[in-house]
Amino acid sequence: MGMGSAQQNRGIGRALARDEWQDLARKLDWRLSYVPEAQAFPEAVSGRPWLPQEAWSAWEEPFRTSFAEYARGQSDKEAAVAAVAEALGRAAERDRLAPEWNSGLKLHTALLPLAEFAAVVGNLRAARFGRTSAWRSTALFGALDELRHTQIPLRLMHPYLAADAQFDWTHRFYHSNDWVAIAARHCFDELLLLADPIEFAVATNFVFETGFTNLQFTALTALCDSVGDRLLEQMLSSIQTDEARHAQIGPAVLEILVQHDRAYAQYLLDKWFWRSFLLFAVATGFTMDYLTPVARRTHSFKEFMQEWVLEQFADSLARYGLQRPWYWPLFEQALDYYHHMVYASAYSYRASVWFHLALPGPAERDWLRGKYAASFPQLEPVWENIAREWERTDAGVDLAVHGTAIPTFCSLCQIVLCGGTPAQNSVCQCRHEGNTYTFCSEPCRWIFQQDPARYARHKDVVKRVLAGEAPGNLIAFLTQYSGLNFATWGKDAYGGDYAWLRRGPGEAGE
Amino acid sequence: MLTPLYGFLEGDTMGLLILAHEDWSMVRLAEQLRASARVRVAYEGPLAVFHDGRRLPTHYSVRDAGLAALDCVSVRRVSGAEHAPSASGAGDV
Ligand SMILES: [Fe+2]
Ligand SMILES: [Fe+2]
Ligand SMILES: [Zn+2]
Repeated sequence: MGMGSAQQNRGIGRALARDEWQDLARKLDWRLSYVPEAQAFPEAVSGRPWLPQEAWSAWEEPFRTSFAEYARGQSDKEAAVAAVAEALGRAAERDRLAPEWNSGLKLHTALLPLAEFAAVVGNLRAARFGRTSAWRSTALFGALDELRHTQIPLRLMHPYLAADAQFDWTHRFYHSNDWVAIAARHCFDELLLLADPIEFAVATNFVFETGFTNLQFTALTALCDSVGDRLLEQMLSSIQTDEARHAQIGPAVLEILVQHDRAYAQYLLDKWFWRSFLLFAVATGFTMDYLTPVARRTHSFKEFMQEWVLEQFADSLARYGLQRPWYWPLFEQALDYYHHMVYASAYSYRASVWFHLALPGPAERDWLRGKYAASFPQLEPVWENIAREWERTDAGVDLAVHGTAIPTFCSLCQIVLCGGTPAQNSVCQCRHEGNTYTFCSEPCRWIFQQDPARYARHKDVVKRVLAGEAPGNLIAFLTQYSGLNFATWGKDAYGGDYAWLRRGPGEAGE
Repeated sequence: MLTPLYGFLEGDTMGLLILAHEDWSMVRLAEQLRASARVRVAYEGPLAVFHDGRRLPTHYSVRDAGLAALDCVSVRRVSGAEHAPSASGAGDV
């Protein structure tokens, strides 16, 4: 409050206690008189259901941060990040770690920063059009949080760039037409840039941040500790402390939303749980089950999901009287298969991404079989076959063990059609205004069909190729369209040189 | 005329685009998908093409089968005895 002590003594007599002034600074809603409320907070921007201000008056979140507290806390966090950057931010530090772990880092630090920047926009929309001032105050801090989540990975990865051009993708990724970037943009444009504050609160703050980012920032942080990656650990936990605070917008909005339109709340939940799952399965699932050295793994992606996402998610659903998403059995199947299907596909198209992938050998496959007893036996023949292909090829001849045909993509999530199981892919289709749309899964089709006008005009990669907008030749597609080149595109993390491969002298170099 | 099709080979982890000639037989179509998926999937033996809940006779061409652009076909292993025109197959797309 900035009152001098002399003034305190003469005037009010004492400094106000925090609780006495706090709400003046962060929860002060007054009745509008110059314009109607619906004009200051139009439904198209503020979101639906449109409720009068009184309906939101009970909105509250537990942190109730003031700006002074925010600035102090963030300043300490910045100092801690700066210290770790100073101590560990040299390229040589990365060489201590396994190459596949560094691949996981490249995957994360490409997906993260510019998506966080898009989240600045989503938060700022809530900071203006959220329906109560406490929500708007918290969202304003959220926007400042997301700005540092943009800057931290860009800052921390920058020193690595000189020694490794793939780190350029920390910034370049979202500016490219790499298929993963197309998929990530398709999700994040809607989630972070287009969503009104109510949808943003349910989708980003509740589903994504309260639910899934725990996986990222708590479970993955534990793996960092196991692997010995102090820099990533510091980065993730610094970000997580912010997420834990501004994520509280989610439950606070959801609580009021379910009182007025439970069906809409359920729809938002069903839609965003699936979309979030697909993205995390790729980003976090790859890292946990394939890109962490096997001796350092503590839990599988599925176990982390069960511990950090599903238990808490089930509790929250019960609290708000919401149901599990209608596709729950499909989701449970996907927990066993989906990221394995995508990883095997991505490995065989690794030149289409900006990080190297590792081939699971006997030790990794034993671990995967132990963790995924029901599904991995069906995936194992794929790895045996890829290993045989490497045995027929000299180490380092990467494109000899690589797909050549054009992969196919989901019209909704834009990820490769890797749904279902090896025995039965879950592809499905629908027609809309004379066009065919193809989906990796029933939930993706359902999401499309709930709002076709939003999605129908987006072209997936196959439609871009068929329309002549992207080259159909794979190498041309990678270099001219995806923004990759031989130096940056993904290869086998060990150049296909694994001691366990049985490369006969006569067999190699075929 | 080339017909772009989504192909799903039994045992594979992903769908692949096949640009099929309209006079390709179902055998030729299935072999094309098998060749495209070779890095991940390798098994010998006869294959059959399924579309829209039915198995397409091996001697059918893409044109005969009425396959249109962006249709999904699944290609599955069949035993030698089955490797003849027949009615229905389980688990097609
Ligand atoms: Fe963030
Ligand atoms: Fe956030
Ligand atoms: Zn999809």
